[in-house]
Amino acid sequence: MRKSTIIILAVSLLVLFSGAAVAQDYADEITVYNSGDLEHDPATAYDIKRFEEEYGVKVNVVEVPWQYQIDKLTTVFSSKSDKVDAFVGSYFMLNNFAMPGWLEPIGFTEKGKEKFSPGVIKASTYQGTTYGAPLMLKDTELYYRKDLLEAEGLEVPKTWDELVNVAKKLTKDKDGDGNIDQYGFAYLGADKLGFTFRTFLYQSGGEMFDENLNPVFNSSAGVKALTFMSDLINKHQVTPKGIISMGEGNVGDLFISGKVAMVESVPPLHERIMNSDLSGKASLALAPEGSAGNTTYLDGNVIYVSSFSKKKETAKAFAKFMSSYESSLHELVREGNNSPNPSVFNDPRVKEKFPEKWVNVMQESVSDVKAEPYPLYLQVEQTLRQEIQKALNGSKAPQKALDDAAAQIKELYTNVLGI
Amino acid sequence: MLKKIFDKYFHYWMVFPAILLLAFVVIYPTFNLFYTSLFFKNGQLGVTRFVGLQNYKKLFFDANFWQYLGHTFVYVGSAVTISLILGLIISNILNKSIKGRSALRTIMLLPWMIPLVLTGITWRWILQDIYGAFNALLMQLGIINQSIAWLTDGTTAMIGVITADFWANTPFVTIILLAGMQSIPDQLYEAADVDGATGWQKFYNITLPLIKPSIFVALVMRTLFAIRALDIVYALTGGGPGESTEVLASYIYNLGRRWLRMGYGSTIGVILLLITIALVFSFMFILKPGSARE
Repeated sequence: MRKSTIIILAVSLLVLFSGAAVAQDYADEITVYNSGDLEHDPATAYDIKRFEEEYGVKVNVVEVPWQYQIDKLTTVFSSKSDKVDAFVGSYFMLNNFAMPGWLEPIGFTEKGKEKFSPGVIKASTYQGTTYGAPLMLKDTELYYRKDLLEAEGLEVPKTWDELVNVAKKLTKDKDGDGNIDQYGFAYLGADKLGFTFRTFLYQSGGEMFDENLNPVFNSSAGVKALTFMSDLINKHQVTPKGIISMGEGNVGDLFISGKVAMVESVPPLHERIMNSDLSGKASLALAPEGSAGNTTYLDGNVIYVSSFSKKKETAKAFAKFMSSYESSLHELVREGNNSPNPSVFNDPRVKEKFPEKWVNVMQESVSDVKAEPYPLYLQVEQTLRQEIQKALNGSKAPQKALDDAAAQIKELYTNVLGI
Repeated sequence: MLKKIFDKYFHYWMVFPAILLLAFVVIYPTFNLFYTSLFFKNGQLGVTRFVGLQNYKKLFFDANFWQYLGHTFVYVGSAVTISLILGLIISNILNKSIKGRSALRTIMLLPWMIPLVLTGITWRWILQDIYGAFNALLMQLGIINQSIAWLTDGTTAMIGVITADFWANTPFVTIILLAGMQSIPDQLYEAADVDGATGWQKFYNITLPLIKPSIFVALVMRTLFAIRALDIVYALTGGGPGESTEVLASYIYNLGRRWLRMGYGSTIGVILLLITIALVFSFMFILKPGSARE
């Protein structure tokens, strides 16, 4: 046999066996809990299919409403079950699952982390270890009816004060029956009330906790934020009272149906606007600034891998695949979810899909997001939400509501965590 | 000899599988509930330690417990009472020979057929202040001229939850009471007619005493359903605004399922179980089932 033939044969065998070795590293199938149903998650569904085709791994998706995801997964993980290999969950879930040791480090290299916004990696990292592979993010942006603002000769508000003034002019009783037909402004309430508060808190220069996990959201910045939220409803009457019980979907409905002229909401609303009669009439701007800037709360999804999984490497490969440039791009152009990877906004496919102004706003907005992962998220969130609701419906003063929430959370941390 | 023993205790052998099943599905979980209530258990921290009756002591100083207990009494008391009164009225109507009675009986069951979560979501839409059907109706009738945000005020939110509950569950009460009414012999009413009794007198002196066992069953079942109700509360208000519509069932759910504080959650479960038993016994005492047969 000629020497060259032997070399070709040897190289071919090496490639063949190394390929087989790579293929053998992955399990045949994994089970992934998705936040919400895939019908409303076309980009995730598309990328899961791509992963299945590229890696030859079947992904069994279990669809769980996001509100119940922590409950369901907590039950699964507390029994040390391996039935979930990975899950698409929110940034805020990190501490709940990382603290008891239920998550597997995702294994990003330093270079791998650099492609994401720093705020996103910070929100995916617990005690120095990164556990989440960022899939998409929901920052808060101002959606407004440019036709209504133009008709009134109004400028897009850039500060809280301007927001109040513009909202007052856009709040109208159109038919004179004593009932307001169009409100000036709305923000996310119900299960997103805590998120909204955080955005206003950060914009006032406040924080949720100090470095020792003491609640500090009842600071003057916190009171300012909650007073602003309350005043919009009760004093200025530019925001509907019912907002207290309306979440992301309901507030989007109000905007799309023309009942509200401006909303502070999260990116999937891009997609709804583009597919509605408002296309061309509505636009996007950065959230108006408070006294400390316009940082907004970071919501959105990451992929976590279970430490109980018997298919960790496959699950990690899945997580990294779903947070790749291409997958982030699909999240943005197919679903309107903002990308945790800022370079995605420069992609021609993004510029083709969205107006240039929107792309600029989205890119700038995602660079200034913040989340503070902390333990016992659900309890903290429920306590905070309950007290915020009391301030908004006028049954408690903002300072008292926040003081009460802080005291309850402090007691909770003392009792449960011994802090 | 063996056959003799077997024959002597034959009836015990026959009921043994049933007792075993009962022990498995009732006695063990109940015992486990009491047992768990004696521990500090936190699933998230992976901590379990025996604390004796500490959880029960803690409960007395838990302001949330007392507040939610009050909400539970308001919710259960109102929803059960209203559905019982409405059930009595509707079953009385459906028991008469009216046109389309069969169709009405089927239609009347519709709210009961709908899953309670959907009932909660439906009522959340109905009670929305801006596009809710209830406000639109009141405005068209001229009762209000400004939308009311029903779910943002504690009192009106609780009224909303109670309304959704009795709307969904009144058909159940109606069915039970209607079955009771249909078992009353017509001769009793005919005799009363001969004596010149009015409609009210017939209802009060014949129908009501004879359907006492049915009222007892309806009351007990409704109370059991309402006291552990979680679906409607969560879907309609999520326990809010604030904690205005939180009830003991949702507190137990939060403690045990969401926060994994199984020990304290079980303690409140024990108390809720004792309250339920006390209520059932008081219904037995008040209604004295069986008295109608005497």
